Amino acid sequence: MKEILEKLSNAAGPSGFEENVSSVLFEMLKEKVDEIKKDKVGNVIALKKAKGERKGSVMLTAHLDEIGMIVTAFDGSYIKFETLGGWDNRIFIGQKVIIFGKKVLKGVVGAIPPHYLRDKEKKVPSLEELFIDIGMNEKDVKKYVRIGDPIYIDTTFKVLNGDIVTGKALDNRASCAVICSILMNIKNEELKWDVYGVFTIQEESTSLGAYTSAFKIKPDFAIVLDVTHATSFGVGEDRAYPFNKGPGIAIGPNIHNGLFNELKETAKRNEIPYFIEPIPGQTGTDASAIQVVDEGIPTALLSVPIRYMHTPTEVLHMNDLKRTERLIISFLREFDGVKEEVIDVHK
Amino acid sequence: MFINELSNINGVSGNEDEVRKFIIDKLKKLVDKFEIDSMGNLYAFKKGKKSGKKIMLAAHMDEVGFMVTGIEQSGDIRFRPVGGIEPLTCLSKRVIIGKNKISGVIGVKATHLNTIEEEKSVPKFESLRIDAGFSSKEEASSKVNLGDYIAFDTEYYEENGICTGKGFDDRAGCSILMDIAGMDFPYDTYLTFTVQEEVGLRGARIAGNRVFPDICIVVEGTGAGDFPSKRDIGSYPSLGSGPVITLLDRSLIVQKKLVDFLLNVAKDNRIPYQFKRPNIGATDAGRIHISKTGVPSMVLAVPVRYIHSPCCIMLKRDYNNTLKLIEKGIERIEEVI
Repeated sequence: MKEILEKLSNAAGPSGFEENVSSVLFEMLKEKVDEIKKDKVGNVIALKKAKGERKGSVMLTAHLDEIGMIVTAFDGSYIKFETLGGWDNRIFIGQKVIIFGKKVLKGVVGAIPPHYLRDKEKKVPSLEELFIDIGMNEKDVKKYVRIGDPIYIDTTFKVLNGDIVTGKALDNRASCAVICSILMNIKNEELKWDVYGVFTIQEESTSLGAYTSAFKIKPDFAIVLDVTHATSFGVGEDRAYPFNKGPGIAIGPNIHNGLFNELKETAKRNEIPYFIEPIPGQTGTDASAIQVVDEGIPTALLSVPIRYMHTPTEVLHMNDLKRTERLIISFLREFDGVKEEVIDVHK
Repeated sequence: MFINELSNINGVSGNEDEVRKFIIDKLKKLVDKFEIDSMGNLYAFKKGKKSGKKIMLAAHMDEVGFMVTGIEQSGDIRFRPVGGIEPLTCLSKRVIIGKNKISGVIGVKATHLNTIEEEKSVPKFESLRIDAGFSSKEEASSKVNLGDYIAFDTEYYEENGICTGKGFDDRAGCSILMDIAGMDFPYDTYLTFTVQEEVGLRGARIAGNRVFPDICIVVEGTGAGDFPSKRDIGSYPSLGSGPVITLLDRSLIVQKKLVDFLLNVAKDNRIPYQFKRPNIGATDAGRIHISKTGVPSMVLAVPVRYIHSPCCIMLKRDYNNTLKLIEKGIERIEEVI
């Protein structure tokens, strides 16, 4: 799974510009599944068909987009940018970036160096005060870059210590890697469910990919995989979850109670560690979207804890991914379906 | 040009060993003798065509970085800067720790968990930690020691003459000294690679006394100031405008006859040049020129954007012009000694 995650983390796919990462997924899965396609909005949809008695279909879904930036203006030979998705603007200074212009261009995010500033000006620069420098003169910059070109941070996946790894876009390539690994490992299994692995676009903005793919597939139920916050320096267990305790199983208004209970029971039966993640309102994930698609789709949410979310140095523990995979495969083998309650008052 | 290899080597002030080793390895066939003093300054000596006078060329091997100052029960690593680094440039960057080259990240908690006030405040080093994936103090202590040096984890990259990487201040200078090691010097010459420039020009103080040359040229990678127009902070030195000549900085006033000499050499060889913004920064020349009874010293530098950050930008064109100006200057150094 580490190798899968490495490939996916290194691929580029800011929201709205996901072609690169969807091609990587497509190549990785095309020999491993019964059908795979890229739909008209850009979702990648892979299918492993049921064998024997077919009970229906399930959609396992993870978003493939990442947060990024976009070119908005020029200031001489410097490039101004806006963010795609939620960033802490303090982390930009000194980051290496890649701009997808007429060619792939490497640059650095700059700001006026502090030794040129008076003390009272030494504050967090706003986005307007930051710029990207690709070392070219104004004429060349305008030849290769145009307004609207996507930008992402130039970093590569790396193992820190054993099963603890770092990289960009682990939100949510971590979940993409879990679904890829599941599809590869159930290739020859006889399952009662058609299993759709759906990699959605634009979760970080509007959840467009989740709404459209769920509407197209209309599965009997859906399991959304996303990330949650892990404990780290300055982030305690009052608002995050420790590493290596398994996936989080979410509960709350966005989540189907029956699915929640069955997932929890499956984990217990198979002695898979898990934690419960109460989400009192909107989950801020594709689960919020899928629950209300068409006439409603029973939806569950599993989460992998990651540290430093929405930075280029996200960190996670591989065990949490492996246990998420085990839980889902066990669930696909054992789950009997969601029954809609009908009360016939004339009976 | 050795800037690629030199940039990728870690050599934070006080820990320049690997840089020195690399330079010795590459220069051993080109020079007559190496000396290393008690602080670690490296002197590559080359016999000149004539003796009686001595030339010193100096560049510093060290770069800014950090040091491990503590290990938490959680396994997180406390650290402090070595040399001048702003905390803002450190957020969410990858680093390499110690001789075992342990990878870590300077983590910044998710934006979702921050208040607006937090995101408007500049953090202090005391509030930052390095996460190297250790789960306990015991585990971290088995691989990381107090006092280990930490460098930014940045790989050199070059395309179309645009160079990006860490530590161009002053590996650019080291690389230029290495590039000219093969030339025939008019007088005995000491190519001097100093230590601890970034923590107070420490190595240069004893190097100047040891060599005590008749003339010294300090070669630097200096901060460019050509930033977007809206902020009126001036626009020089700028990338692409050639070697940067220092008139005066916080540590040195260059003799007018030496400045004139550099300008003449530049003009005679059609080499572009520019001046450093006065009164900013200090270099090893500030120490060397007050060695013993005094050493006439000048400073030439390659303009570099974003020095003291994880990623600098420099143009090969500026590097080559700086190299050429120094070569041509040395050929006629007799005019000023």
